[in-house]
Amino acid sequence: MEKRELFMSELRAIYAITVKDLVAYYLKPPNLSWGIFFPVTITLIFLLVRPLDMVALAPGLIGVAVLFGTTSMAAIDVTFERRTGTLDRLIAAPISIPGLALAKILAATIFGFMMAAVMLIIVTVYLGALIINWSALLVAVSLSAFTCSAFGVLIAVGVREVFEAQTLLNFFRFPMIFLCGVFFPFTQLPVILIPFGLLLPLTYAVDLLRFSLMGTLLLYPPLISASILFGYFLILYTATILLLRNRFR
Amino acid sequence: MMDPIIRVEALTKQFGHVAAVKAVTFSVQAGEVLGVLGPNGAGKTTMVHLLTGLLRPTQGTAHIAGIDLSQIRLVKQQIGLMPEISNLYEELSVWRNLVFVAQLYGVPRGERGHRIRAILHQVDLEDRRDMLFRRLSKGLQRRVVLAAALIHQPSILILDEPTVGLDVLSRRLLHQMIRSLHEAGTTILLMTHFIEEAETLCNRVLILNRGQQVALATPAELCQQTGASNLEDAFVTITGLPIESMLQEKG
Repeated sequence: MEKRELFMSELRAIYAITVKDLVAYYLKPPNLSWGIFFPVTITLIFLLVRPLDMVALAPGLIGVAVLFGTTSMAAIDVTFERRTGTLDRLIAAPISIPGLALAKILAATIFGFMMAAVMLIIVTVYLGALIINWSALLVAVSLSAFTCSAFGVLIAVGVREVFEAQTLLNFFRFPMIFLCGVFFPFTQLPVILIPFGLLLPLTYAVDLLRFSLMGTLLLYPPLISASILFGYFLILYTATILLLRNRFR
Repeated sequence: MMDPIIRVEALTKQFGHVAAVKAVTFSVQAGEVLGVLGPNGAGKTTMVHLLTGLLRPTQGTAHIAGIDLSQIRLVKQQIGLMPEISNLYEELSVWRNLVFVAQLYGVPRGERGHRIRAILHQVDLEDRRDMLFRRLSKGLQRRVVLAAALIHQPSILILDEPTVGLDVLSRRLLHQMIRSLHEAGTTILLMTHFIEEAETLCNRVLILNRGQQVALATPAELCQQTGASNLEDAFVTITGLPIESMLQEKG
């Protein structure tokens, strides 16, 4: 088989797995409704607690919706497939491990886009937030969704059961909410916590989202934040590939 | 004599200090059915995993349809795998499952519908095409898994314990399908611990015990070599399983 033909067959297989994952897991009514209710619920919670600051909270809310939506669903998808043996079927199919990992990440990323879209509708239509920079918003949501999805898939590949994956994910997700500038601007964090915040990808995702919605930046220029987020994606994607290879060697 | 379609040389898989498969060597001619017999834990499924890329060998080589196992993506395209568990998607219909597997193996879009209909006819499941996979009985699920293994028209079919847990009718139906595939010229590697299955369906039998290859011959040759009247007795003699003493112990 020629290289071009191999590449095309890889792309076809990635597409097939992504569509199958969306149909079999992500677009099921319970998950879709969760995808809508989760953003609505967290918005209402914040609306009750801090009704005056909702526009300022919009970037953080979108970031949290993407983080929880992608990681939770990716973890369910992968652990379920491991338990039912369908992941073995995919490994035994003519697709490379990087291709398989990418397909799993893509499906979760598309779900993340949907979560972000729901959240954007809420913050713009009902809370009065404005989108200042559409292209920055697209980059911010894409990189956030890819990075968070890769994180979810990585954790799920490393464990056996859904509850293990969710517990491990929460170990990272909840501190991220407090350390990444979701509730209040990152620069208002106690100095001692700033280095921890800088180590977490959600910090850069929220900063990029803040730039696209409010036109303000607290950390680095958008290109640098985007590059850091892309770097995180590459690290998490590579770790997923290595872990998958290790499981099937 | 033609080159064998499967050539396995000194294939070994070590898990820590335990050798699940130890220096197994055999070859299979095109169109042949080779049964791999062995008690539970003999290394049959490990062998399947090695030949399908789910595990990497610690030592040894294998060539499938002339392709070295190191080029595993090309090897996978040559193999249809029916695993021991029915690992298709419970929430998808029979038809959607087969469409997915066809896409995964690169069956051209224009051919998919026709091919799936033909295979559903072959496994007698045309009237269940729109049913969810999880709603099917175990026997019907096994037939869908067989259909999925055949969708890309592989030159080699690997069946890992295809009839475990099936009732007599489903088992016989599956046996009939395996015979039909053999008659159509498909090369089949049949992993089983049902001795009568190996005796009736296979041209030759490879016996594994604790990961080691202990015999490779036709069922008749194995009976002759051991002086047994049937393959089951020959199997017990060859593997040295202490069945008689265990039966006596149990009263």
